[in-house]
Amino acid sequence: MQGTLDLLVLKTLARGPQHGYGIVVHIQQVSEEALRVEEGSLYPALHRIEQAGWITSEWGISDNNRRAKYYRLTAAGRKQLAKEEEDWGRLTRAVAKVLRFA
Amino acid sequence: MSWINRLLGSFRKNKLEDQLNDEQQFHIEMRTRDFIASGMTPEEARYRAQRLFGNQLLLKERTRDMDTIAWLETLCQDLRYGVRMLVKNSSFTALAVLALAIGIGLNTAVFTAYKAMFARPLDARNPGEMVDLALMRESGTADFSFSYPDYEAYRDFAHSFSGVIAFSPEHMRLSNAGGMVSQQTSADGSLAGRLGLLPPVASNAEFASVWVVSENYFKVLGAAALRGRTFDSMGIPQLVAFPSVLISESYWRRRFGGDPAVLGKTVRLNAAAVTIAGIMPHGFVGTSIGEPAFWLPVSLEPLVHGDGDWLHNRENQFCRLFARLAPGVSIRQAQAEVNLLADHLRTLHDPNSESAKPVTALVWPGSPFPRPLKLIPGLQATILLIMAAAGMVLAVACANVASLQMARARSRQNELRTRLSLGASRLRIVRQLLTESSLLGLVAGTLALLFTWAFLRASVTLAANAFPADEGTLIFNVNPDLEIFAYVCAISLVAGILFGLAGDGKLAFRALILR
Repeated sequence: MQGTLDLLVLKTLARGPQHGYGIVVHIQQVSEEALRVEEGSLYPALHRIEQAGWITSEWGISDNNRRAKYYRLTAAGRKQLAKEEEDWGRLTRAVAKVLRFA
Repeated sequence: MSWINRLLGSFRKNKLEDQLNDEQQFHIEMRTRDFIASGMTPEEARYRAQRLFGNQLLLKERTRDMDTIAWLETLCQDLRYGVRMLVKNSSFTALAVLALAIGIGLNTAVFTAYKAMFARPLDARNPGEMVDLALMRESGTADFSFSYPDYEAYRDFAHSFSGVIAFSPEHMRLSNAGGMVSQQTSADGSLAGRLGLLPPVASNAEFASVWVVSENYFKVLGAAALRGRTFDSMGIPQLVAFPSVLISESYWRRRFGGDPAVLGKTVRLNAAAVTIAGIMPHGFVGTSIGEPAFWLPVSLEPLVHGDGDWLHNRENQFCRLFARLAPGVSIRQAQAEVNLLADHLRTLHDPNSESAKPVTALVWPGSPFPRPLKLIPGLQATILLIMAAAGMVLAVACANVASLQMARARSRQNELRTRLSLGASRLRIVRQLLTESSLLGLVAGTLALLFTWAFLRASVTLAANAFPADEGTLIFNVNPDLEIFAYVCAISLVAGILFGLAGDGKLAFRALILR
């Protein structure tokens, strides 16, 4: 789900600026490898979110001294994250209710 | 402002491409490093990292599409290619552009002329509020002449209007202006004079065009004098005590050599002495289509005609009426009110005259034409015919260009087949062909605009010189304006697509379907 990927990216960046690889690694580690996608498909999403104004990017130096593009959450992104977290909560609660009922 | 970023991105493709590469490579190298750290051989680590990443080329394209406006890029590519093709086939291009420019130019000229001639509004501030008044007689003829007593009734009692003005174009004998001008020469010098359309004038009398107007004329139209003052600041008693006229800027320059001392000068119109009180700005035509020599207040009519009853005689119908709608009043409402007034006023006329018979009011958007265009017999059919004829010329031009394109078909067909087999989509090819023909249309349109402008300038000069100066100076505004420019662009694009479909369509069809 596209919205889900956005939510994961925004949530990851809420911890601080990170490059694409860092985002992938973080999501995989935290989800205990349960969320595994084609790694490259993160980048169209990152650029789309950047154009939407929720994140910005700048080139920096990674911990192993390489040039890397770092993404950072903007104020608008923080708002979007809050909204998407709420939507997600509502959705999962609703799904859980239906599952319990059936 | 994401689209601005994307627009900019479309023009910084190379930089964007490099950055994308760097970003992808960084990711893969990091993944490779981590795999090596977990014990893989460098070759395997690199291979696994690339597999895990996915199709780099495809992902790069998808990522780039997020940063750019894809259709714009395609359009730019198509335009670049189109320009190259047009330059390469320069003789074809020149012929096609010329043919189309004639077609487009003619259409633009007809449209501009129509706008300048028939669709022209009154020369007033907020011309959209101005309306013309006329009466439809029982016999079915439109009557646009009113008497002064009737004018006063409309002016004082119609609540639909914030102002009602009267206008009557006349000719008067001018004397005492100094420096006699022979009108024989001016009649001879004009086209109408040379064609023998004007009677030879007695050479010792000078005539001048005089627009007789109500005193509130300039106030209601919202026009101010270039120098001096209009009649608004003078009351009727003052005007009668000190008879004043205004002169046009053209006449001031032509007849008085632009001498500022003309203000306060006394001339004689039909032997009545009047003082020049002001000069109206260049090109001001008010409710007419030309500049007169003089504007004379209607209250001086008895003086210049030597008829004390001129303004009191209800059967002396000599002026046209215009009005400014009061705020919030529609033309329909105004028409209903004028209907009531007209029905009352007709009972005051001589019971045996035509004016006493039942009438219907006509109120239509302000125009110098004395009746609604749809009531001028044959005019609309004529305009339609001329427009259709001009359209036909464009259609013929399109057909010619289409056949020119067909002549190039064989070489193009090979090119198209090559491009298809190299993987171009059919839609993409049709798009390319249409872009090319639209480009041709736009180039032709630009040329046509210049054509039209020159042509209209020439015909306006001809029209202005067709009548002697003492008939008034015709003023036509034929400068291409935004509306006309939009019209030219639209017509050029339509033309481009038309012959594109006619020529390329068949070509594309052959190449794409029957291969």
